[in-house]
Amino acid sequence: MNHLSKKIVAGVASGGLLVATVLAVPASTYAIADSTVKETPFCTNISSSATKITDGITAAKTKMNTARTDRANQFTNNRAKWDQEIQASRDKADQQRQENFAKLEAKATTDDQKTAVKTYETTISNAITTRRQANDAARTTFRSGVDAAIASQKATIDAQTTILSSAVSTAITTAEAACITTPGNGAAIRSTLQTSLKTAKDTFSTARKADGGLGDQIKKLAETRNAAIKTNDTTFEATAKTARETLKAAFKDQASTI
Amino acid sequence: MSKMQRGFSVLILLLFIVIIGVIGGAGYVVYSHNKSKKDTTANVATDTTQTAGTTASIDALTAQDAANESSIDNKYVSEEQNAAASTNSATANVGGSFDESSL
Repeated sequence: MNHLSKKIVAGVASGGLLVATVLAVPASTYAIADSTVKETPFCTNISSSATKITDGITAAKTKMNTARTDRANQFTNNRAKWDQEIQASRDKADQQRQENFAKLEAKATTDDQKTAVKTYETTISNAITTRRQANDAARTTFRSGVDAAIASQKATIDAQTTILSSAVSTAITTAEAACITTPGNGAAIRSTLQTSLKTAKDTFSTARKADGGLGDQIKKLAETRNAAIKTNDTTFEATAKTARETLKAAFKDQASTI
Repeated sequence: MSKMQRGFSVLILLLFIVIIGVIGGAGYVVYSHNKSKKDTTANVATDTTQTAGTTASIDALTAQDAANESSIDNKYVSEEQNAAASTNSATANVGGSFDESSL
């Protein structure tokens, strides 16, 4: 009897389990079907929305890189023109100085005077060469500084852009996953995504403002260059003064003619 | 008397025209002279070629040489500053390339 009772209980339990299993399958199927039906438009469209956002970032990055290329070309062209103008100015000055030297030579009548004029010319010419080389070095330093500042800023911006893209990508992935898990919760998912995207955008914007731009850096580099050129001029003028006085001494009472 | 008065008026008119012409001519000569002087002062290097070779003219020439270089440098420093800033807008646009509120 006792044995029979156990069999009955086991049979009932098995039957119950079978019934529960049979009922559970359509119930779960119904649950999935129910959630699909209730999927919000936001979750339905999240894929195309995400594509729109990432495409926008990609397009903006492409434009930024194009602007960088244009800027690099602008620098190359400007510097070539810069060098050409400097050279043209120097060539003109050289020609005019040679004309003046020739007139100066014509005033020398004695051997001492002729030698003094030649010495003067050599001293001035060498001093000009020294000044130009020093100015060229200052210019090169300036340009290298500008290039380094641009490269540094580029690396900073690229890092900031990567952070932005990564944050956006994470926000979208999270939203897409939430839409799969709880497709009916579109409003909350949308709100969370919007907040995350805005945070990513604000972080980028704040970082850009903190960067300060290149203007001040270039200004400082220009000041350094100007100071170097001023020093070069002072050195040149001291040399020219000595050369002038030596030449005038050689011309003695005719010093006023030169 | 009436004829004399009319003749006198024509003479005065001619005299007036001549005087205006002289004053205008003199004014033009003075203007041209000053303009030429100003242009020459603005370019000492040009002036020095017309001067007999002296240490003063050579000093002026070398000073002008330096000033010209400095002027060219300053012009292109400004160009570099402008060029450096030319990507700012495109860079800022990366951060504004999407509108989260439209989702």
